[in-house]
Amino acid sequence: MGIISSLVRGWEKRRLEKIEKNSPRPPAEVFIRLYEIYHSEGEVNAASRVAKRGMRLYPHNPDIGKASRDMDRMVREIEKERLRQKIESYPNPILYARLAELYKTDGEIGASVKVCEAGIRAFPDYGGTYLLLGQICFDQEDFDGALSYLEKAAELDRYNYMALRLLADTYMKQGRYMDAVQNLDAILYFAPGDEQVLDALKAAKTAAGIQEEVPPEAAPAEAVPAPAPTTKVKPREPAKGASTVARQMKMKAAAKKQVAYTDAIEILKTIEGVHGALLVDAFGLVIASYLSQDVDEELAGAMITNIYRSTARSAQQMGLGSFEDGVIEGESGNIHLIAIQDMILAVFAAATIKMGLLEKAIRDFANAVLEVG
Amino acid sequence: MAHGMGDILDRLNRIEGVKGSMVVGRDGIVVASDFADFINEDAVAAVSSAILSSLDGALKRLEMGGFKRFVITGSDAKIVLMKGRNTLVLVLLRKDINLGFVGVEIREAVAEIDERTHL
Repeated sequence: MGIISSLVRGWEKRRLEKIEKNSPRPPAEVFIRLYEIYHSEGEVNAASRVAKRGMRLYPHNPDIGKASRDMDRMVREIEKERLRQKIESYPNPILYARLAELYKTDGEIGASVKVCEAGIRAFPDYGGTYLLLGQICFDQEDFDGALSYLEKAAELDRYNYMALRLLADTYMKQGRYMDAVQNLDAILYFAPGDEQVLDALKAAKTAAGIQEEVPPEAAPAEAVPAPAPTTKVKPREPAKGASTVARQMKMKAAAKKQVAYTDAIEILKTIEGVHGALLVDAFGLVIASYLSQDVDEELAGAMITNIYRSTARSAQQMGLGSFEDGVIEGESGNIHLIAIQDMILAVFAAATIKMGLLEKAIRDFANAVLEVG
Repeated sequence: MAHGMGDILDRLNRIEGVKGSMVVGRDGIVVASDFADFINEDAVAAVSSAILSSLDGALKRLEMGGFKRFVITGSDAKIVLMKGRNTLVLVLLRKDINLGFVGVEIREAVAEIDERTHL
């Protein structure tokens, strides 16, 4: 690019940035042109931000729609590369699930399946990778395959919202309406009031010929939690050719990481007014926790994941951008929710807690997690 | 604006950093709304109502009492959802706003809305 055209471009960029910054609703052309400039200069974050804001203001503009999709794809490619490197150096089951999910989003189903299978070989007790294979089977209308993977995912994590929800859909496809009802009831135990589940439950009950409608809140407590569905799939053994040494190294790395997370949780314990803390992954699996003994850790993890999931989705719909943190205030305490990479930290605290201290502790926690992450 | 709540929202919206506010009925229907930028009010109201329903049940199950307030911070803005007696009040804020002062104003607005909607 010549000096003159470079100067003109720089001037245009500054002018557009000024409009974009100061106007509550800049013209669509501003977003399109700014996106093109950022994109050509390799400013990925700026290009992504402009595309997202343009999309919110002009959701039906085809050029902004295309820019937004291209940007999302580029960000996913960068993330895939980061995950592949992490799996090589410091593997954990969440990385496999996240990478497989990204491949699935981009329609690379074969690659997604391969990553899931590798993840299951390395970490056979992690439900997230079974869930993804179940989703892939379901999308391909292989309902028997979906059932085996989803039942395994639900067996490993009985409060897995997505596994139970998709399992219910699979049962419905197979005409097993009572099984669907049971799974949806199980979800309402840790996601009370979830409107999508309530609607699905109503449909399942109608299909099963159940007439009476019992409000979930009024149901007896002991009748609600459904036992984990029985599985038809045996845990997979490592592939014959897999290197035992490599696997042991990976397990050691994962264990080291687990210790680091548990140590990080200890930081939070020292703050007066903190009643408990929980670190969960995107699938609701508890990674580390500090809770009083009378709290069901798995249940709390499932509820936190469910709250996070609906809040993160809502944040986009409400124009807040991507979710960063949230404070839920109840009558007798607060829950602080923070997204850290692909994990969610929930801190249960008294309403009277000193916010400055807590925020510092949470920052320390996040730094400690990111250091090993 | 409906139900004579325009003055309450107008007062809230004059506070530095407040970008708009809304009163939502328990059924997720917009009762009153005033936003500087375009937002899909019906969708936001429905989403807010769904969040309230979900959180209320979850907090009770975790033995933390009923839901009072939810503050969500996103990459672009911040939102406060506060439960009234018969309504839910939603306030959209700039991300950098400290909730100290605004929080008091929102609480007072909710109390006033409670009075006006008390049957």
